[in-house]
Amino acid sequence: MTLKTLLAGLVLVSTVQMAQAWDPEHYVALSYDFNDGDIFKGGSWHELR
Amino acid sequence: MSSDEKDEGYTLTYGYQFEERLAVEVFYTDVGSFSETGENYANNIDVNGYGVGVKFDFMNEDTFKVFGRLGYARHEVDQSLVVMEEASSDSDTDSDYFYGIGAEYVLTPELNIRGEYNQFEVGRSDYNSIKIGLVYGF
Repeated sequence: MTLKTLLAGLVLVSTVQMAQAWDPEHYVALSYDFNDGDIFKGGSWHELR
Repeated sequence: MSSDEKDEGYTLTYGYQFEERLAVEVFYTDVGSFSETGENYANNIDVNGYGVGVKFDFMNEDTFKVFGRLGYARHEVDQSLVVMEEASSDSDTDSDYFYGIGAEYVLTPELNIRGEYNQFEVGRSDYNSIKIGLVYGF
């Protein structure tokens, strides 16, 4: 094992350990939605006017 | 009379995880278009909304999360109505509570895939929303 390979391995292990310890505090989410409902229940949107 | 009360939409959410299991979220959602037609009328509405919610992780494993959500949303409804060949349009807003449950699978430390079910109240109506999406942490 060369010194270069050893260093690359150490960098890889360190990167993985840092990624595993990373704890996100902020996030964004994008979703595709399937919506289904009683939108016109009781004619409510007629009566809303 | 016939009605189409199903449509696809999208939701964009920003969340702040202020505790290991608790997060507050704000979102914008395009719910879609719904229609109802009868013998002498046609009613079409477009619905979108925004809101704020609190998300609590009941289960928070390394690769899997199960959560519940409670929040308050405001919906805007744009309606176009044709009755006896006379057309009119209007818009209105309504605010109400919503709730949901869901699960997340951790793909990478930054990226999760999320599936959830929510129920929203809009006026005296309501709709169910099944959402499939990605969550990116930063």
